[in-house]
Amino acid sequence: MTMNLAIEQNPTTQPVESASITELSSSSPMPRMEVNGLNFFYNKGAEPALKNINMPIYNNRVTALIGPSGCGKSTLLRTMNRIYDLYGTQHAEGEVLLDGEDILKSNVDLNTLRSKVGMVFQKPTPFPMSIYDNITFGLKIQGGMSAPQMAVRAKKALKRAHLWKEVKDKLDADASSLSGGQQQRLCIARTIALKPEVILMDEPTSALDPLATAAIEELITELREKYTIVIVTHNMQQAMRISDYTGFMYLGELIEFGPTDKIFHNADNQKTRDYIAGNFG
Amino acid sequence: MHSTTSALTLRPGAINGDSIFHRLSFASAVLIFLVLIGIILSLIDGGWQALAKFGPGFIFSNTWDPVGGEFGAAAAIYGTLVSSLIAIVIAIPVGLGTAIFLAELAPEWISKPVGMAIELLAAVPSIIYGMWGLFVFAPWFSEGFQFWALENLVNIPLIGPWFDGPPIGIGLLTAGIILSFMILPIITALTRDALKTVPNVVREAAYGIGATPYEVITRVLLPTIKNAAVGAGILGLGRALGETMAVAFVIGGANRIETSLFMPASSISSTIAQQFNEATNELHIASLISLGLVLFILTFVVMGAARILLRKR
Repeated sequence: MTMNLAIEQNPTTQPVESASITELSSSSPMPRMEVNGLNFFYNKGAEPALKNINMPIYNNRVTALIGPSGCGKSTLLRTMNRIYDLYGTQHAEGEVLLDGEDILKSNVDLNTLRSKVGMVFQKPTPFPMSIYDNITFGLKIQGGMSAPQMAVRAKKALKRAHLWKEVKDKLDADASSLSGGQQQRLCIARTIALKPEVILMDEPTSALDPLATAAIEELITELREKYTIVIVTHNMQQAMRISDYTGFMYLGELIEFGPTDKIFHNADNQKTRDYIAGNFG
Repeated sequence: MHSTTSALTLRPGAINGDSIFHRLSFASAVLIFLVLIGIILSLIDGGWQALAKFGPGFIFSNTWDPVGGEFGAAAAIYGTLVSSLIAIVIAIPVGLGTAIFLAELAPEWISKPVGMAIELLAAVPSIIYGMWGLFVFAPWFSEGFQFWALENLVNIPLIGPWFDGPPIGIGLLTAGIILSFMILPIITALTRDALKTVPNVVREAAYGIGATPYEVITRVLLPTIKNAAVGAGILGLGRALGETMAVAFVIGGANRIETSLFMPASSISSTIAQQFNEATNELHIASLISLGLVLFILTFVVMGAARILLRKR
């Protein structure tokens, strides 16, 4: 149902810039995810790394998380697909809703959750297999697709990630033979092949050169048509270029959240204004 | 200008610490090389009488008759290869499984002490394994597995004959099993360390796509460390090939090639260890030294292969 909604929407529609958050959440963009009263702990009894975070993640929008190193933006991202669960000592309190369902509950099937909420990392992470197998790896895990169906899906994903032209003649080549930028686009293709609802990106361009970065940014802007994207970036120009909403984090707290234009030009909070102006961080 | 140059130039005859250090380390490196060449040459020289007399037949004949003066290494080579193969066949899956458990699945309060125990196991002298194998494992193995195998496995086609023999506890299979205990620690430790070098982000990417631990381990992590794991197996094999005391205790010391793994057999190193102080005539001694040369070459080839595989990583 949400998928249909996504297609009907005009991709170039920008959120109403002058509207306040409350108005926005009740009008056009629907929140796809909601973070409510989230606290995060790296160790039991330690100081919380995230303190009482509340924010919506709007459907078919790009939400950027900015802030100085160690402010908790990656940590927040990592709660949204519960990847932190791999490490026994880390735990989260509060609520993270995906389509109204709390993903922090212990009975959530993590494999299903992670096929709905895909993740792209700072460094490209091709798996030790061919380019084609990298794309179909997740599809095979999900099951229920024939080989020709998977081939179609893989081709679509590679096209969407603007990688198809470059790799169509060497799909059997080892994925590690690609350049860094190509590998990162492969990882994005691998993620979108699964048709996730939300894509989390943790500084996806920080290991790439300017050209590859531009390609990924363009891709993100296009992907917004179909997917909801949350991106962590320490590049403020990038956040300004590609995001619709921005959350500014500092010392584990979400200081301010709002339309990107407002955060960058007319922030309410003095700290946000200082950070944007480059006065610290 | 003049004064700076003179300050930079060494006084003639001054002792240059760097050049002494350079020469010393160069000498050490050359020494190792000389020792290696020396061992090879003395093995060839000492075994020459046997090599010249039997020629290539030394490798292919399985007669080992000190009284009649006929020597062939085939049975010992067979025993060495088969016992090492048994060791590898047991140790690789168990070692890999242990490594996966320790690196990927076990909580830290288990993986730390078990990991330490495995490193200690690697430090146990081989004679202890041999003694334990003979006095503790062999009787138990005879009463347990061997009797059971004689009742249940013998009639299975193809593999049945392997288990058709006297249940005396010692023999080729026992030697292989004891060897597998010995090489298990090195295989486990190397594979575990290789798994630990895989960056966490690779795991996160695989889990992040919805893979289960089994899928992450078999499809992503093991292919990533493939070369290191193969290298670990070959290093283990190299150790198994040359192991002397543990094998000498339990292999049985019989110079023959039999289908049954329950039969006593011999390996190159155990033959040398058991016969050297009894060898009286020159040809016998030369044959034992030639046996040593064969083992040297065999091990050298295996270790060389391991090197190449590890470098490819």
